[in-house]
Amino acid sequence: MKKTILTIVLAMLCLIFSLQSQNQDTITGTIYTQDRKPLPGVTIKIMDTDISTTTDENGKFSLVSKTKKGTVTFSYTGYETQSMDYIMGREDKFKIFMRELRSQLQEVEINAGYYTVKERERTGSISRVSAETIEKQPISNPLQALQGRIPGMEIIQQTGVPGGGFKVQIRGRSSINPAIGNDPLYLIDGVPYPSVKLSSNGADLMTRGVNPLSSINPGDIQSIEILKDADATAIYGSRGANGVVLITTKKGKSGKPAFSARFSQGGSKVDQRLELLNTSQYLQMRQESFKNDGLSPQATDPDANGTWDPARYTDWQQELIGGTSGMTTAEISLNGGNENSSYLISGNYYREGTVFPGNSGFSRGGIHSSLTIGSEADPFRLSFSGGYNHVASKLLSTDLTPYIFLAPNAPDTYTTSGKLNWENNTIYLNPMSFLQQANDAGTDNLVSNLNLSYRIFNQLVFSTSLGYTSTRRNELSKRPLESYPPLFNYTALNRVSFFSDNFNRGWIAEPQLNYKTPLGAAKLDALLGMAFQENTAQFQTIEASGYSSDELMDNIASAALLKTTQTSNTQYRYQALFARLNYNYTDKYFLNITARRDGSSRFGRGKQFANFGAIGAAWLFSEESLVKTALPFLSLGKLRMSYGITGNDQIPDYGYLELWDSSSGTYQGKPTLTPIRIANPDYGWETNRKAEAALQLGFFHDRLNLEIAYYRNRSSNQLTGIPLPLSTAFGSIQANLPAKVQNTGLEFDVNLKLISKPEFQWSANLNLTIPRNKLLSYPGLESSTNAMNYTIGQPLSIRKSYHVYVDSQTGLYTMEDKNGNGIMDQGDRYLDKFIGQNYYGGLQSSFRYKNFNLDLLVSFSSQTGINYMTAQLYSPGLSFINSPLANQPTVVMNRWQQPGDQSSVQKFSTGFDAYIPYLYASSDGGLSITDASYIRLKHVSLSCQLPSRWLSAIGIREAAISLQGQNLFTFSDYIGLDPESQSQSNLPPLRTLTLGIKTTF
Amino acid sequence: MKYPIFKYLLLITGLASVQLSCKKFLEIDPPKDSLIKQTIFKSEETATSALLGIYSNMASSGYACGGYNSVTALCGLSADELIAYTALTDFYQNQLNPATANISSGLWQRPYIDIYAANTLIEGLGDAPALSEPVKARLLGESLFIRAFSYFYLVNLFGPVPLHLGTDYRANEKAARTPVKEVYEQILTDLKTAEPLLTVDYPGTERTRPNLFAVRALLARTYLFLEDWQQAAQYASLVIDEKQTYDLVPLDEVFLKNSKEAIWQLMPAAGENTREGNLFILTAVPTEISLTNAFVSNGFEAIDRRRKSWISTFSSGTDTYYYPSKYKVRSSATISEYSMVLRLAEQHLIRAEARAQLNQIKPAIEDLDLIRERAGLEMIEMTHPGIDQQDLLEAIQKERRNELFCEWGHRWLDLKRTGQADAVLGSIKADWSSTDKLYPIPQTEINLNHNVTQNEGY
Repeated sequence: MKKTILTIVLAMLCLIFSLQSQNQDTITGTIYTQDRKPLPGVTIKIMDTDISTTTDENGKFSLVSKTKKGTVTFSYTGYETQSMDYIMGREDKFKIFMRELRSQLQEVEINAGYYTVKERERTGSISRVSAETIEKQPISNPLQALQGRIPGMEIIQQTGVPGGGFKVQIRGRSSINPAIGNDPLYLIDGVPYPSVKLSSNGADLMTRGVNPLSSINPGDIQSIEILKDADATAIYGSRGANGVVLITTKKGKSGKPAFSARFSQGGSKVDQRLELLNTSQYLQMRQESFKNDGLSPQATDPDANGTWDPARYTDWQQELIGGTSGMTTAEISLNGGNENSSYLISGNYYREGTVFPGNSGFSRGGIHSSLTIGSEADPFRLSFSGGYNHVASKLLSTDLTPYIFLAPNAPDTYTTSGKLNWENNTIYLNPMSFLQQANDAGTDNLVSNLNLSYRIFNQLVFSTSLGYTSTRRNELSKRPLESYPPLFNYTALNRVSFFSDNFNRGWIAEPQLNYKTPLGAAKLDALLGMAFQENTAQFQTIEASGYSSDELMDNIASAALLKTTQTSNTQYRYQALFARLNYNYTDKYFLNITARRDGSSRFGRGKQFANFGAIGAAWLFSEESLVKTALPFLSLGKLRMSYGITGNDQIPDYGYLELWDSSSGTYQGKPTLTPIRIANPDYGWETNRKAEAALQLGFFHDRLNLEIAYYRNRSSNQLTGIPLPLSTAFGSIQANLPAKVQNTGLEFDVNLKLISKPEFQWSANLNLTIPRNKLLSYPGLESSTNAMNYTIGQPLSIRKSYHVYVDSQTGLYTMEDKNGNGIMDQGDRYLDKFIGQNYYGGLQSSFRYKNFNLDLLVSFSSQTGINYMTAQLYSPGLSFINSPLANQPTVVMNRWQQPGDQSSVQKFSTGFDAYIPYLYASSDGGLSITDASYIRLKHVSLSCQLPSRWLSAIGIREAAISLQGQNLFTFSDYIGLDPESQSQSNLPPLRTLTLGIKTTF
Repeated sequence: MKYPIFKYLLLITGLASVQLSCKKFLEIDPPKDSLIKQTIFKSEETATSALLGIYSNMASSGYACGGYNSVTALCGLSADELIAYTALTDFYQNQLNPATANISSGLWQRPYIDIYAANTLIEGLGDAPALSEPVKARLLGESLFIRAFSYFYLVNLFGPVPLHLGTDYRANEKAARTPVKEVYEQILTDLKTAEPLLTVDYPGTERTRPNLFAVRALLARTYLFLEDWQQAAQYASLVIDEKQTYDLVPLDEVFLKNSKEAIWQLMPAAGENTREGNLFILTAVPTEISLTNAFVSNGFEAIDRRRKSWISTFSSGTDTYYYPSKYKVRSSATISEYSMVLRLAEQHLIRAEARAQLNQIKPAIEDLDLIRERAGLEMIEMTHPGIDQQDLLEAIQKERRNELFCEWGHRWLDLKRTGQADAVLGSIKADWSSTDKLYPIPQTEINLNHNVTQNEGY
């Protein structure tokens, strides 16, 4: 083994040094762009040999030739390849001007996972966001960089708490069970990355499920590609059904070592407010509700009986979530290399506070490195990338947002001496007490990938991709006695600490063979590969209680009692055989066939394997001579189509086994076993048949580019937990449901270069998605367990609702008795209320004037969503002393007051006979479903490139100052905190503004 | 330049791929923290653990736990014992909603989970060669008892209920409601099958697993509810006559762990005292639950020792709140009390009532007086030796009220079975209607199984 390593090291050194040695028979020269600037990174190769090099940062190169004469080629992405003959001694210096291709856009190499493809030649639906776009945004999670930019991709930030959860969906929901598997597959440098939350159930209260990508530094990302249709995703087989997100990290560039640094500082605030009642309106509501009920405030109504000062007013929104959170980003990187190898090493630090009172926050630091050895010409190439990040998050156990509904005349939270105010032990709730309940977590995250390739002979390359990823998160969540109302008279047993440990690790190995050959006028590209993957995950939460002091609660050994409250231990294995065949005929006709055979340990014996595949084709009709003459303004015309089958295995592990769990406690001091589910050993894969047709057009030398795509995805053999009646003991069973769900949609992507003068450039991009979701068939729906959840022909996200109105006589919400049988039953829920998007998209614009850059993104969505009513603890007028979160939005002032009133809000009341209709109206009545459309200024960045003549004097190559903003303004009629996240119990996404500087030495 | 190493690399990867590609790669072991159903019956230890899981489940939450979501609390609210201040007001006002989670998860699903586990054991024990006959008999007997016990509460709270006697969900998910009479027949069958399988022994010495006399005690109660007085008296006698095991103990010792009065107690979760103590004992103005003032002031004679020993007060200013203090410990690191499920006093009251119904007045008075004597009350034998049958029956009901309050919904079930509910509750509860006697079937159950109908009035 030692010998082997030594050989590798020697081989590498050999490789590096041998090509640096000088020789007399050299060809030298300089390569420029058309505007006479030196062009670094151009590949120069002597035809029919393995000899090649690249230009340095001054555009210079030198090359050793073994023969007296020959041909050299000069190639560079985005430029026309040139070739030139040479005879040794006759001409010693080349001076070449490279011509830029008509459209750089069309020449960009797109990462399609196991292979790359030129934008121009791609047959599948792939969208791309590059480092440039990511770096402009003041964000902490790479997913934020994609919001509003990718047609067909819906990304909803669930909370403004740093490190929090996201909901991501590509081209709609294809599985019937909303709880199961609609996440895309994430790969970082080819290594599958987990999409399930990292946090314990306890910490979810605050974070809504910590998103694993929050451990990744967005600044380390070179590009993100989103694969959508069958042609692009079928090679991922069983995991491609919900789309694939490929994250490629930064690699070194050849040239002199470049050192760059980036620093920015800024702050965030809650962008929107919910208009809540002030004290006089609030008391009016409470008094009126007692009057309506014929009651008067009791001792248990301190807000209304005068105990709490009726003249006091606290704006709890300002108090609890009105702060400004600081934000700091710092990055340094060093990269460089020569024609044979390149390297990059970078370090990053990020810190974000929170808008809550106190000192909570999130910080991340780490390193990223990449090493590439071997040039295009070498038979052996190696590339390695590795990233390690540590996240320290110090948050609270509870989001304070739900407490903005605290009665506006509730007492001060602190006494004059600065202690928590419990009003002489008469109150049950002081929101500031939650500041004592810390939730600290540390996450270590490693992603690494090694890619080895060896050219066996000219057209055949063998390569292996090896990846390892591990994520470990430790949490400590504390409930000290100090955080509880003294009147609970809690004892040492109520001092509880939760210690959680989540460990997730996986490896993947993918050997591949790639064969490329010309076939007459055509080119053939074939790929054959295998994949082996394993993931193990362990999760454990220990509840420790009975501490003798609040100070000891960090130490598990100081607890009197220990109990395991959450535990899981899973193993997942996966293997596959995949192939791709790409046929390119005269660069006009393209055919791409992909196939995959997958096996997964998530299925029972005999159901583990399945086949997936797709066929894609593209026709560049603008290359036809007929079209060229008839439509000279058409710079690109492409028609592409694809069809294929992908699968989904995002279901829990071991679902086919009936398991009896050993962790539910002891009895008589002995271990116990309890059943956790009913098993079904016979379920198989869910399949998703995807079809797509798209037209891509470029006009006037690609000044205007247009892509219109229509997709139709049909998923069947639905793998879901089918709800069972509760009397079967368990709520559901895993099974294949013979139902079909269809997602169709139109995606538009328009790029426009309005002005492209050297001094002034203005471009714009519009993307628009019109998604439609429909339940096509569901045999036996009427008699099935889902009868009240879905309607055939309607989207999955409907809610069957009553028709609700306020009875003008009683003033209460009343459900229309549609079927006239005298009682409120399922037959009366005849309205199918839709929750979701009618259309959404983004409008980007980019201006450049001399050294100034201005970028804008406006995102928009026309949609219906869930409003404030769902999160409301009480119906208007009702309050309980132990949780006086009874404030309401000002809209409730339009309430019913006297018989004959026509109103949309029911009367104020303290009674259950008003509370129950309120609950019904809000849930099954669908009153909580309202318009939630919005237009949001999602992103603005203004940057200024400092003039190089100032900088060169102090040895700086480049420097830029930028002002960046995120979520700046929102226009919406939505009643609630945020129309995007649609939650009143989570902190909404924040408005962020930062100022930064970036320099390269 | 040559790279011989890569030929090896190629070879190694190639070989590894072939090695891995056999199907075995996908064969994984079950998770380390769980067992699959088939392994449970491979050893006596795991089979016993599966049974103990039912008890730990019962004690931890839901209908049997004695705490927030339990029959003890919720039925106490529906009857005239308890008052709710916040979330459980719907029980107190008898204004239940079929969507209430306390019903669907607490009172409905929890007993069915226990039934599922019991059914698994009943099915599995039929083919478990690894288990010795005595252990098999013991486990089967207890499983049958648990199934009967669960259905007893289901049928009393909801009326006709789906009767699941196996674990096949395909049959269970479509089952309609079985008439009350048939459910009771099954309860009797299970208990009588269990009777010869169990003995007086409590495994592990503590009274925390049902034994032969728990079966007989439940048989006595079931016959009482079926108004088969002869059988009720007979089974109660079998328990009462087991004098070396069971006896009435002083009031303050009744609810201690393994008290001699206990026929079956549930052991609280490790490190906890009872849920009853935790829920009922007031240390502040109640926000959830307390006794109604009327229950305390209208029913107890001044000299009744239970009024002092089993009811306590919490005062705040001029307001006084009463709470049941049968359990004395709210929370403590020392565990002194277990949650009482079946106790001897009830057997005496069952026999008293059955004998009175059979017009055996004198023996009936004897049973009743044992309870009265302990409570410090005058003996009926002394004060009203010539009491007539009707008055005696009334006296027994009154005694049941004062002896068994806030335990396992006895009051609620008694009011219903004796036909007193409308008269007693109708006069004190504003929104009372006769259909409130049965709780609503959870809405989700009806949504998911169309063969299940709703109770009247919901």
